[in-house]
Amino acid sequence: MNVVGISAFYHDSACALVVDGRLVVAAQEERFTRRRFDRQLPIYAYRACLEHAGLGPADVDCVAYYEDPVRKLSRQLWMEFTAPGAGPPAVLDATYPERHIRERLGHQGPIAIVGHHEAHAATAFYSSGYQEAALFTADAVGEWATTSYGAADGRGLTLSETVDFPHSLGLLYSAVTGYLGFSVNSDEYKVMGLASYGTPRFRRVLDTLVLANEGGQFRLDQRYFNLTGDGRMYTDALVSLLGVPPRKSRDEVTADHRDLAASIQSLIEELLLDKLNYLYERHPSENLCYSGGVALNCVANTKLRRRGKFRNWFVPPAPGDSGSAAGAALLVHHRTTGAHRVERLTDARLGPVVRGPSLARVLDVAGVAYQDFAGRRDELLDEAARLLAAGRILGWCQGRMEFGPRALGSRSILADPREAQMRDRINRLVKKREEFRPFAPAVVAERAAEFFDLEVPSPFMLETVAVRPGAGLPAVTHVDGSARVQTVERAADPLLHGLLTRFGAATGVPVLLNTSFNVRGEPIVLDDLDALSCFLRAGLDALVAGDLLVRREDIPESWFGHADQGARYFAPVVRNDAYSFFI
Amino acid sequence: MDERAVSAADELARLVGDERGTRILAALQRLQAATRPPAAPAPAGARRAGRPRTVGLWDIVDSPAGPALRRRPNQPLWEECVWSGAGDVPGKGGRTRVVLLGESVARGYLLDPVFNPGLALRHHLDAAGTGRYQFVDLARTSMRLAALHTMVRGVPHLDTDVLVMFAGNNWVDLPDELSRDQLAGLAGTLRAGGYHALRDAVLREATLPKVEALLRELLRLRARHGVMPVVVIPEFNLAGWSPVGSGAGREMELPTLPEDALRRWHELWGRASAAERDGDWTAIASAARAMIELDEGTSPVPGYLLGRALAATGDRAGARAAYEQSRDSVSGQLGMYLPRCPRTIQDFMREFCGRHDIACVDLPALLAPDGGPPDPELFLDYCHLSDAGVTRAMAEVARRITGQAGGTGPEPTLRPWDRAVSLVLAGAYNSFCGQPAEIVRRYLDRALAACPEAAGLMRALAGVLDRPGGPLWSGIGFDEVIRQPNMATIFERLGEYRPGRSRVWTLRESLAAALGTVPAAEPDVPSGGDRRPEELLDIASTLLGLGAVANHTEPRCYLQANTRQTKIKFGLPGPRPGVLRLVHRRREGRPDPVVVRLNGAPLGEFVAGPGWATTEFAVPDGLTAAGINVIEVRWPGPAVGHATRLAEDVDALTRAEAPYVLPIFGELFSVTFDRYRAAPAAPVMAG
Repeated sequence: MNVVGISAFYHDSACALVVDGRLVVAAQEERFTRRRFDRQLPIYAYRACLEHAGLGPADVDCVAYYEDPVRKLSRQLWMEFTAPGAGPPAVLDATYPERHIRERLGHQGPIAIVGHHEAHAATAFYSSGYQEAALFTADAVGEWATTSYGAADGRGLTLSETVDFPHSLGLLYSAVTGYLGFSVNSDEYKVMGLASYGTPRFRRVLDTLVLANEGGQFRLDQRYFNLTGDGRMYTDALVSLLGVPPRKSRDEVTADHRDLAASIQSLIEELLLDKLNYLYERHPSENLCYSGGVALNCVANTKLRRRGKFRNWFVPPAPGDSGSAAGAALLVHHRTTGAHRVERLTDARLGPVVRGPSLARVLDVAGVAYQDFAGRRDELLDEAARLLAAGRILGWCQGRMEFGPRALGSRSILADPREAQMRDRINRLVKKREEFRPFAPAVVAERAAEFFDLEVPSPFMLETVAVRPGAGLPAVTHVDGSARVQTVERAADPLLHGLLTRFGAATGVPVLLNTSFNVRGEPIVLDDLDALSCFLRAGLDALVAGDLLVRREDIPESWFGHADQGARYFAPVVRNDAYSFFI
Repeated sequence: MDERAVSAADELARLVGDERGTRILAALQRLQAATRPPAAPAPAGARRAGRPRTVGLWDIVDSPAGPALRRRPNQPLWEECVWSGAGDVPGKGGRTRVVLLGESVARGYLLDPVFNPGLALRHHLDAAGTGRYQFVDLARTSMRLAALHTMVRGVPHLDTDVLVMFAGNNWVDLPDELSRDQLAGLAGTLRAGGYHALRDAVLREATLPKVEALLRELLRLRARHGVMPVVVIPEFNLAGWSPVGSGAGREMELPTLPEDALRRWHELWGRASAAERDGDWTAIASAARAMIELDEGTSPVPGYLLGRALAATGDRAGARAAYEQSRDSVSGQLGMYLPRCPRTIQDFMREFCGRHDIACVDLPALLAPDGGPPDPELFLDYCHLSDAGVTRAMAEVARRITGQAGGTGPEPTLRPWDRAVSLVLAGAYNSFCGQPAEIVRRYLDRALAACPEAAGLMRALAGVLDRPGGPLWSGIGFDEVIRQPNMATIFERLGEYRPGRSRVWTLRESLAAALGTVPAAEPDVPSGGDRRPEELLDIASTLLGLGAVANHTEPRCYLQANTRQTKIKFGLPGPRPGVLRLVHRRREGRPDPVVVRLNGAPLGEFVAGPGWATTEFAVPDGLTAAGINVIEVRWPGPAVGHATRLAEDVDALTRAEAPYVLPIFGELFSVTFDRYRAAPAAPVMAG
């Protein structure tokens, strides 16, 4: 049975294909359209997924949609009645998703609707390898639910309790993100990074925003939030309460901002721990499957895992809405066939093999020198490791794309983590981003504990742990001594593991700085030709794409200008200044 | 959360969660909007504070010589590139300030920055008296009516003496410029009167009132601020722009018609085409007139055929009328078409200017004084003027401003090389717009005639297009192409674009023909390489792609054939046998066969049903050739009935969405030619 999962029309739209219960391919639309967080129906991802699997449109038995449009309409109607005219006229159309799936994907078979939090929970459960588990989902909002509790086993999954809009942990964090001058639904991770620089001196004030925090429930004091209209997500009352003016996006980040970030991070961690303990009481299981956009808060994840009552944890590599495409398809397969696979997802490289003109042909025709290591992968890894050890920054584009927001070694920028200047160089020249944001390390799994205080695998970069004293990894060590670690198993990614191992042999440190292969404001690269363009614009030293190694010095000087100039003609398409609850 | 509220909302959502409910909710929202009290006017102080201090990319600053303009530095390129290149402008002092506002015709698209209307006008004004005039070019590419109106309102703050408004091609409303109310109203019009009624209503009820408001703004400027307006009425390349494209265009050919009418319309077109081959202009004219009767004037095709026929028989006035009917047939239909100013708007501008004694440069009359269609050599595409066209237009504008008859000194001239570059660029742009090879070739030949050295530039452009994929800037010759400033304005922007080889075949063909060469084809993949067949449908492209639908609906992941015949091109290094594979559908499937031809020879037939199915054809090597190969899929008739389409479009307008408008003849999800696979013995079909 072939089930296509679709998430769309809000943000991070994606397509996933489940064949006989196995997730075989999944991709986010933004990678194809080059529009970050693209919310459109994933027509390109859909084609790519089918092509990857060798299927045509007639082979799709069912499309699973990740959200119940009627329940979403319910919430929109409630908003229209409670705050009429607060925002632009809502598109009140529960038929929209089905109409577009039929018309624009050309799908003629059944369409199965899956609840938003069901899809989130399914993403985690069906990828966890657990026979049974407790389910916890926290995000901004789907239809109504913002936080949900449940359990799953071989019979399926059930959500037993929800916290409903407008009371939302995700929206609480996002409101403060917006307050701090960052883009909501996008830059929450910046707040998480900034938090380490501050002290939570606003914590008591922020505590007053949360009311009736009992059991699984809580309420946000709506006097301080504007969650029913477009525009900023907080009210003047919050400005008065905090006594710190909201930061504008280009303003300097001050101690107040750092402390506010630390405070919201502290509050969210405590609220999450409280709710997870409640979940354990309701569904006492050794296993937790945790999903939703809030699960990308990896600083909280590790603390919760360590302080909570669940023995085993699983957070999928795409816990946000893009991942729900996979969850919806997996859940529909289980519901339809009664069968599901108990198989742990250990590799996030779920993207389709993107076909197109080869980089080698492009370089050949243009007369650009490169090295082709086809059939000599060991030599390629040796050379790449040598370049990295010599302080070079590499663009690394290999095989299938990662599914989810993290670059995990398929579409990565890699560098030596042993010098602090490397972080500054990448921040200033390559990523052009705020200095307070840390870079993450990738480490061979078998030696992770030598360098990090990490007792579990972290293949999807969803844990933040302490860097061991004397590890000598300043470029990936945050101001508080922590790092957001990716552990790399040989079996899961022999290529990246091989590179880490060789780098370790050369330097004694089988760890690399690993950041996403993109420039600011753009999605991660799709293929090796995207990689070539990004490599030029980011000012990297070398590009390793498949078997090819291209050095900066061999590139025609004019290409740098052309690549940069071409990109400058296009305005960023997607902005995330505020949630829009009306779409 | 109050559970009662959630429960009530849930129940309401269940009740209105279907199509009918959606319409009810849309009507409720319109009612809500209509009955909401208007926003209170801003207090006087606030209004004063709202006085504009900027215009376009410029800040308005006070100076001893009066308001000056400062171009804001560090603007993003995507914004910078659409505006005129004017820098800082000092206060006018004692000079007469002449401001040019307008859209891409006023920017001299395809000529700029080498030459443009602003430069031509400045030349004439300077010639009229050094220091007498201060010329300020504030034109912007893609400026639409509302934005232009905003700029016109700001003109008094610039202490303007003369305002030249050269615009009108971008004025007819697109779906996203219409309010929900308007769209809902148009739904009723469409239901009652069909697509021609929809078109007329858009023009009459939506666009013309806005045009009138803009023109009345000019009167206010004159009365209150002493500004002399000069209105330039745009003209269209009536005889030099073909609505019968290369098959890769994005312009609509025909809205949906009842099936019988559609069949007869295509029969008549076939008859006209046959008559054209025989040079029988009378038969062409007869067929074209019958087509217009059938489509009620909604297709640009028959008017164009009629115009050609009448022009060939010496009836230039009749030809003009027919070409104008072709041009205007689509304006307001809410489908996709390139900018133009329909006769309704031209006449309105003409009449308004005449009635209110506004200086008016009537390009249709100026460029074709005999009442026939204008010379295509005055244009570079559908509406943008060539250097000769710009020169003639701006000399007349200058005459209106300076009052000096017969122009103001020698006309500015363009070097032959620069003219040739603009024509090469025009060839490229026309091909990107889907013009057929004979029209693209015309520009290239003119370029070579203007300056034989243009062959080098054309070879460089061919090199860029012949690259094996990758960004355009990776193609050999890109540096040479963008060395020409006006080429750079287009190709730098496309630099990151990665058109597949099949998307630019018309231009590659035309360049090769003009240069006497053969376009390069991708060589065979060596054994052991990735030999999976390449997808020939370019659905990923909206600029050059084959799969783009000529309307404003959201893109689909498959090709919808809106014309009776779908042409798909691909290149081969030499004759190759292989397997042609099509994944197809005809939603209201019927037994009439779909006919497939390759390079003009019949390849086979298949019956397309309502579900997706796959058909494969064995292709002997004798049917293929080195260079470009053309697959033709000829669909038997509409795959979606007229009544269905009409009902769906009424629903779409009711939901405030763009209507589909076009007929659908068939659908293709995939087309591949596998040159490495042994051919099957007979056509194979799988569903």
